Amino acid sequence: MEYWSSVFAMILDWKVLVFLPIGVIVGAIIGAIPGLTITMSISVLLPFTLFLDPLPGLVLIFGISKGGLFGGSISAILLNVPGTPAAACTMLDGYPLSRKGRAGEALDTALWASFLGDLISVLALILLAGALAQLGLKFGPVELFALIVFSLTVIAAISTSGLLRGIVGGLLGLIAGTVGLDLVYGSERFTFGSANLYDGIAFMPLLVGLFALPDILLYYFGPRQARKGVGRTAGGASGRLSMANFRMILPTILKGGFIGVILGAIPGIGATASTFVSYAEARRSAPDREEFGKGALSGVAAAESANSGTGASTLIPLLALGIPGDIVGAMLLGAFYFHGLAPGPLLFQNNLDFIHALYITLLISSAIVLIVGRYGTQYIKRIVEVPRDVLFPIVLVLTVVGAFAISNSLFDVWVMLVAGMVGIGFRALRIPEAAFLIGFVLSPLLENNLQRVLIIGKGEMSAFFDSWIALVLYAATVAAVVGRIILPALQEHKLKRQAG
Amino acid sequence: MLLRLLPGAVTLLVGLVLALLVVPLGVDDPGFSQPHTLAPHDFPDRLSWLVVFCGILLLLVGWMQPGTEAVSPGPIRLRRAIPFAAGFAAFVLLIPVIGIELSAFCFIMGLFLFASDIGWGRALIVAGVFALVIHLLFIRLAGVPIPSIVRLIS
Amino acid sequence: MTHVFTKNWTRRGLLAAAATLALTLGLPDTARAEWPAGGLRVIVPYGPGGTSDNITRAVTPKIEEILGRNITIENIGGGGGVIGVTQLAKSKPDGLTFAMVPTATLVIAPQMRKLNYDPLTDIQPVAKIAESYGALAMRKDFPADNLSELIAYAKEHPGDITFGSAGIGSITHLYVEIFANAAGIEVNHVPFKGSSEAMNNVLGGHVDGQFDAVVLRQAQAGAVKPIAILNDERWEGLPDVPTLNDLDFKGFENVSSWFGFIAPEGTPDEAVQAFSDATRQALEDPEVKRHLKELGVIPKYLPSDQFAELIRSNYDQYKTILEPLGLTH
Repeated sequence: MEYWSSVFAMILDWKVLVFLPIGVIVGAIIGAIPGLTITMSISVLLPFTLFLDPLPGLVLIFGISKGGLFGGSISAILLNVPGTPAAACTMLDGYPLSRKGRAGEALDTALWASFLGDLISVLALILLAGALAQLGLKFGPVELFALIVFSLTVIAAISTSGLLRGIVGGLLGLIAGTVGLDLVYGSERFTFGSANLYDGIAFMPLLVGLFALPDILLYYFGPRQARKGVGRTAGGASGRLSMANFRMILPTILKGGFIGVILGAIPGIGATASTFVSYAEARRSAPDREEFGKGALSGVAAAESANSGTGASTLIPLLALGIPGDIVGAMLLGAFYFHGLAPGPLLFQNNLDFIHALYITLLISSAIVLIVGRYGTQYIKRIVEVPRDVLFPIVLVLTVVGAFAISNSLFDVWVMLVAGMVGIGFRALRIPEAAFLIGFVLSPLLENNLQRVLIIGKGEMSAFFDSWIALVLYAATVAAVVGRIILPALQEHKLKRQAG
Repeated sequence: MLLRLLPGAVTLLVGLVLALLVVPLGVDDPGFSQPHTLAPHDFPDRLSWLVVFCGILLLLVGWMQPGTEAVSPGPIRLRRAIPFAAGFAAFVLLIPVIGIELSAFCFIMGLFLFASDIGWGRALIVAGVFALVIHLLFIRLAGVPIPSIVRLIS
Repeated sequence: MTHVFTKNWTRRGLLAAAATLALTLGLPDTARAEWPAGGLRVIVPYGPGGTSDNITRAVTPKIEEILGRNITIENIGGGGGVIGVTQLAKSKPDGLTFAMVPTATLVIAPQMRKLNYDPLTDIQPVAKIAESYGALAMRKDFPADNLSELIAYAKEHPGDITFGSAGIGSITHLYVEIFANAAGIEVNHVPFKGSSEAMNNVLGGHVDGQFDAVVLRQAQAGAVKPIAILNDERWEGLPDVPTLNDLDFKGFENVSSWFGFIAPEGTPDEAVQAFSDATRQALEDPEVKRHLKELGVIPKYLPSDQFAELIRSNYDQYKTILEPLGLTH
């Protein structure tokens, strides 16, 4: 009894109760503004939080990152500009929905998927942290390699204009992903002497350039058009998600949430890659799978639920092992140390009340995301009704500022513009940008883990099969290739023969 | 017919440029080799040749498959594209010189007059307010290290 | 012939004239240049939240107080710290710009790649602030419990032991190579992207061991097997784990992962001295000390000249490690 009263004393601090909603609101706004990223805003606020008590300080950061995960989907859906890297997958169906005048439904879907994904994630953190942390540790180079090989089969799922074009896009993405310093030799690859490329092509400018810029550039390159908003067709943005549709996407959301939880607990995979795995799974099983890439609610649901599903589960390796799973985790680790709290098994022994207080605030914050999203999006979705001739200049400037801020130089602005031209080329040749994106995200994971398996196994091929997790993943890969690529191709062939 | 071959031809060309030019020139040779590892150029090299292979396949598909496919990103008018591109480049290049606020203001004003009929007055107001918002949000609040007119003057 | 003479004479004459002019006008030479008033800028060449950033934020408030000047921290990340240091090297040496950098950006990265700065000529060292702890730990079920058993095992199984590092050319990678050289053993180095990823692989048993600061807290929790501390003194969290000195293992004398303030070459002496002194005073503050300790680093001040010497000696020493590996450019 005394124990729980001390836990609640921590939570009922006015700072916690005020910072939590503020954090979520600020995060959602920042996430929704193209150019401002969550990592950037957390880094601005981090020094400030160090002077607060541990719980209010951390709560502020959690609030921002949760609000941001949802906020990022807003601009992805409405503008085809992902507010956060992890919202990249949300764009694939969210923006087409928006253009069809179904922005309201897409936002509702994103909100519910975010909320439920987040809730699953928090519950997993509370109930299964230890077990999931141990599972995460089982993923060494071999297992990660197998997982990435499996994830690459997603390319088949998103290739709406033919498998071959999807593979070309994926290959080009894999090549673009090798830019930077080589893992084993430290040699420069395709940097042409520029230190700006040592860490590879910056993700956000590439993403914005490839997806958002082509629309905007082509708008200005083309003949003058009549005024209209991005999604200004029948119904506008006022639509809401119907109960029937909610029931249809619910299984996808739950599955996406669990995928996010598990992949989030494995350090080094990240939210972005997790969304694609979930998207691939939904593409296989969702009722509206034929609509994927053209505006499927399940696509948005799969991406957003996995995205938010990683939200709390990335904390699992941090809290249970003291190992940050991503950039925000690394920043949080610094904050924990600063307050004299060392995440890891000892934290559960010495500061259990703090952990429990943290859990409860995380649960509360899930509810706050739902409330803020429910009432906030009513206003924000009107953006699609702003005429393009007013909206596009503003979006252009925001994306330029965001790209500039990455390394305080024009370099990444040029990267973004080049990516924009490449994006136009992709559209002309109908090569799916999404396939390129997947290749790009997975490329370093694939090559680096391949290298590590080779080094550790001293070049023996048997090293690749030295793990049951890897074997299961290879089997899944074979099943996916046969089931999704070879069988449909044979079927099509047969149909054609019958017709001919 | 020619349009159907275009995707394959472009892919083939890109693949060949990658495999024969970009990979050999763009990857620094470490000058030594470590046992049991891929050299830095191995991975991109194999991928580039796969692109070449896919290009050939796309050509074959384009040749054999009946029906035409439109290959166009949409209408492009050079008369409009060139001034826009020049304006955009000027905007980006002016950021370090006159700061983000002023260059953003000029760029947005320019675009409004170039491709909108919202009129001088409203354009002026929207561009001005937006420049101010950029300043407050990015420079003041977020502390983004982007050239600002305030810092350039002082 | 005459032509050359004339040209030479002219040039000399011009130089002399310029010198006279400079003297008569009283132009100061760079070493005695004034330190202009105004706020200071400290570049952190990494994103916020990393060790470099945390150290900077722990000491700068005190330095602000001592110098009576404002300090703005600018995080300019990317390129493994290289972009931020390049920006510093390019900055005007007016005494208003400083940077906080770790070991690798000055003594390792410039040897591995052609960069736009030379750490020995373009950088003015200001003060060393801190050293991070370092330790060697092996996975929990590794068949050796101490240093001599480890070395014996390595000699029996040459090239079999795998050590994870934070990446090629990181200080944690050099630890592996220096150790292997000094012990006369052959080991297998596995590069990861960052200390955390490497740690994860030691915990999961995918690699055998790691030289890093992050292993300390894991060893304290009993998740890995600590073998030795690389610093001169033991870590208070694990008082029973010996240092390499205690074990009489030679080769790590000057090797450490340090952090320090630097300025562009040509910065006025007055500014360098004042900033260095302020750093020393800040490090004596108990609150700052406590913060640094919580960040897992040991406050260790060195003044400008001794810091410069450390950089030079590390640079030369690491050259002898990197060259045989083929890692120098």
